[in-house]
Amino acid sequence: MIAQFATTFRLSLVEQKHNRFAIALLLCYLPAWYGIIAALSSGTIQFKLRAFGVIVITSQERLGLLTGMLNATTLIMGFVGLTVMRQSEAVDQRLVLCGHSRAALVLGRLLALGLASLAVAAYATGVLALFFPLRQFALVAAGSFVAVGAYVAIGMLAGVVLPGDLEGLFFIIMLSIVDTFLQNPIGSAAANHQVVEFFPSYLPMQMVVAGALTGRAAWWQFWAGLGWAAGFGVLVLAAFWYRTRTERAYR
Amino acid sequence: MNAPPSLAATDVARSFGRRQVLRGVSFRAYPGEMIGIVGENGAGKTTLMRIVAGLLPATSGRVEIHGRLGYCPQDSQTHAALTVAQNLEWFAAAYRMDDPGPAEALMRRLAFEQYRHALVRDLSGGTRQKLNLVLALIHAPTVLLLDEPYQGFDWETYQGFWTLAEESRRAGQTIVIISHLFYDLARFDRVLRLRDGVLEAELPA
Repeated sequence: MIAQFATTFRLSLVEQKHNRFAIALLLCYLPAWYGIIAALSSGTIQFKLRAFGVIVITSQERLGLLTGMLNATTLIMGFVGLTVMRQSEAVDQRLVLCGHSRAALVLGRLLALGLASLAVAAYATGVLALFFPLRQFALVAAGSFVAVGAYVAIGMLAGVVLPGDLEGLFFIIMLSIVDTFLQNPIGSAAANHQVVEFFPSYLPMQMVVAGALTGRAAWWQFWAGLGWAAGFGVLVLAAFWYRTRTERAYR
Repeated sequence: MNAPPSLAATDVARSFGRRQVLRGVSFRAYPGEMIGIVGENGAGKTTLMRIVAGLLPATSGRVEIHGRLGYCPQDSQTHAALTVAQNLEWFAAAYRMDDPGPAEALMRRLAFEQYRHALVRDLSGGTRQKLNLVLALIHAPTVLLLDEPYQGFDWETYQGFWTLAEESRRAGQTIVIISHLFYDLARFDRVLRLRDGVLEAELPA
């Protein structure tokens, strides 16, 4: 199983190297998206950073850039997770029939996409730093990483459970809108409601905002945020296990 | 046949909703035997093959396979964003082989070894189908299930495929092939004809 896990991990990374569309989106769309937000936002905003109970006063541009970063990266990597599972649906079933461990397939893919998420988070935070100085770069990158990681796992889950590409795309877009939009004090009265604490990107959002705009940090949020990704990863494994079951009982 | 069957399907039935696709199909295949399954579109050939392979549960009935199974599906099922060599490596890992060594000889037999480092998504349909077939063969299976394995093959590769199949049969492999081609029938030891989900006749080849 370890050899199968290592093969899956390595070849999944190679697959991502050939994912030109996602790479193009990250290279072109993300800076353009930041640019649009920076160009169109003005004024200041005052909001309560819920995890620390402090009031933050900042420009709408900076807060817009932070939520824009999470929104764009979670969507792109959520789609990547979805596409990986949808496109390999038949061949995964065949690999399992040939004797491949299902756990090795899922865990190898999760780890490969986790590594890709780390690179995406570092890149997105690096580009963001060109627009305004981040007070704690590592915390912003870490927050972005756990958000992206959770959405990779959500995308993979959608790819296993939902019947088609369109359903998966729609699910990820709607979830991302509800998740990131409702938390954003720019334009959402629900941002102060306690329910947002149960959203997948709540803790990463708190980390990213605290890291970019304040000197405060709570690293437990990183581990708890990673828990979301791990939880969705377990669901992916369970759903994949069920979907790729083979009729070996009477063999 | 004195040897025990490598493959035995007994009373296999399968429904999709109200539509009964297979209605109690039984057959046996022995080592060194090559069986053809024929029938019109929708007769249930691929459904039967998927049930025998273990990809689809039967509504009722039983399938027993003794030995290693090799299955080549009708549509090419490979990783399109990887090279031919990387696909072979992944399947070798699935079969718990140290490396996909035997694949080299098979690629030469089917004349596509020059595409070893090409991405599958850049290959022609015929070459993808060659890879699809080789992925089912690299672990030297004792029972080989092939669902129209030569779609898109050029004539030389088609002939090469049959030479390979003949050699495998002589080596004791059990081979079951779904075919649409009338002129293939003489190559089989037995031909099973499916019609409306029933094994209508066992034709002498």
